[in-house]
Order: sequence, then C-alpha cells, then structure tokens
Amino acid sequence: MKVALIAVFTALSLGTNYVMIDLPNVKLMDALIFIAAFLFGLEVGLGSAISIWLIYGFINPYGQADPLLLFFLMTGESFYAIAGAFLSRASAAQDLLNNARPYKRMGLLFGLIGFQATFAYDVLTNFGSWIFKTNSLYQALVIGLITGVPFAIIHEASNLVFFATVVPLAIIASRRIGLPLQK
Amino acid sequence: MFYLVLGLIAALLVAAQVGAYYYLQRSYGGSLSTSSAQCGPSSGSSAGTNVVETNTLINYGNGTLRWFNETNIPATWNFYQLTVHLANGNVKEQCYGTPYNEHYVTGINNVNNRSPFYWTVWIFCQSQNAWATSPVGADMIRLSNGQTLAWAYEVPYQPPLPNARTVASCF
Repeated sequence: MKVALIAVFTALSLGTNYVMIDLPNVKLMDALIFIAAFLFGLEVGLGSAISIWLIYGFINPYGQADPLLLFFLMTGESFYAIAGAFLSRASAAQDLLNNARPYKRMGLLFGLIGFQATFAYDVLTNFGSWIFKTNSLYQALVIGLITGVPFAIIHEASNLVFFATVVPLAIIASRRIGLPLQK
Repeated sequence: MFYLVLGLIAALLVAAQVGAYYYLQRSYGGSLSTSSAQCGPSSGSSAGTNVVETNTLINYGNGTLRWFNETNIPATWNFYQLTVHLANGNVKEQCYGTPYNEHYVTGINNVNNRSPFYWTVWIFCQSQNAWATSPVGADMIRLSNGQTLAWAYEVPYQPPLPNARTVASCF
C-alpha cells in the first residue's frame, strides 16, 4: 500500500514539475510531499521525496544534479515530509480539522509552515551548491544565502501561496471522503 | 501563542531574505537592472546621457580571446545589453519573462553551448585581484565605470584567462 502511495505521489509530483518547467522554482511538488506525509505518514512522504529526486535530479532540462547536490536536494525535500508528519500529530492541526469551517486558520498555519520549510530547503541546497567552491562552511552558507536569494524569494512566495491554498483544500477534501490520518 | 511564534519566525526569515537581497543588489551595481525585461531581440537603447567605461573579454574557448577595452556605453545598460552590442546582435539566448526577466545566453558569434561547453559569465573582483563567476545572470549585472567582465566558452568553471586567479565570490 505504501509503495503504491509513493508511486502515486511521485508520478503526480513529476508530472506537475515537468508541466511547470518554464517556471523555475515554482512547483507543486513540495506541497504534494507535505500532503503525502500529513495524510499517509512520514514513510510515504520521505519515500516520495527521495524517489522524486532520483528521477528529477537526473532527467531535468536544466541539467543533472551531481551526487552531492542530489544528496542535499533529497535531504531538503525531506523537510516537507517531516513538517507534514509532525504537523499531522500536532494539536493545532487536529483542532482545526475538527472545526466546521477551518479554511482561514488552516491556510495561515500551513502557509507559515510551508514558508519556513521552504526557507530551510533553500538555505540547505544553496549551501550545498557552494560547499566545494568556498574556503569554509561559513563562507558557503553566507554566499549561498546571498546569491540564491532571488530564486529563494520566488520559491518561498510560491510555496506560501500553495501551502495556504492547495494543501488545506486537499487535506479537508480527503477528510470529507473519509480518509483517516495516519498516526 | 503558537501562531505568534510561527509569525515571528516567518517575519525574521523575511527580514533575512530582504537583507540578503539588498546586499546582492548593492554588490552587483547598486541596483539590479530591469532595463531588458522584455524577451526578443534587444540591442539596448542609448537613452540617457550618463556613460560608463567597461572592459570585456570574450574567450571563445579555442584559443581566441578578444578584448573590448574602454567601451563607452549608457550607464543604464546591463551586461546582457553590452554583450548584444559587442557581438553586433549575434547572441543566441533563451528568454525567461516576468518575474525572472532574464536571458540565458546560449551562443555568442555563432559559438553555441554544446555539452560540456557552456558560456559562463565572469566578473573581475578588483579588491581581490581575481576573477569570480557571476552568481547572477547577465541581465542583472548593472555596469559601473571601470568594471571588467568576461564571457568564457568553457567546461565550467575554468578561469576566463589561462592561469588567472579565481575566487568564490567578490563579497
């Protein structure tokens, strides 16, 4: 069952990634990983995150990721799975799911969590892309943060919107059709 | 309380990003250029009276190095517009419109990207007397007086001049 779910979320994410290829750093993938982990547990989220990047890291019109960058991309993508799995157990999210009309507060909560997970992803992956081009880890962190900021802003802004809109709707819809949350 | 903490963390992160963006702008010419926002052929307009003097190297990767020294251009131009000017319009690129407003240069004077060779932008860091790869695209490099830049057709990232000193960044 979990393998099938990982395959479905991987296919969904890859499909949307390639459709949105002309919009660098604007992807539904991160939101889908979060939804996978929130609804079906950490294993499904992590499995999807890793399997997506195993394909997207190699078959990508912008070029292949080298093994080190791929490691950082997979680790960073796992942040969304971890955030989704933890939030599904948090009382803040549980309370909202039990509300009759939770949209606004869910949008706020998921938007903020998505924004912060995206920031962590951007810092880690920008750091990873400079780690062997600089003289120290600190330099890699600072240069990565500064030079990656135009792309990071677009990534974070788009994910803020996706997490505040798509994620709550998907989770509420899944609850309405009777899908239980994984504990 | 939970939402307040989340909101405060988000505000801190936004402040960090805005600060980093401001620093990036300041480091690459005072302000990021938006003067070649449209896609399509662009040779840059010569509007405005302020002029800056720049030096540009084009290394074709086959031993041919061409310097364009003391080129006077409008201060409003960015490096993409200068490149189109120097190559007499013979620049091949892919354009990314709003919000990126960037041209990805794939060919100059009929020398086109062909894996593993790519056109790479280099900036000469005067404070460090060394070359650094540009962390931003050609459109975002606003030119300043006396600035030296280079295009190198290479397997990234070799120095644009043989045995030249390189650094990770001009910061």
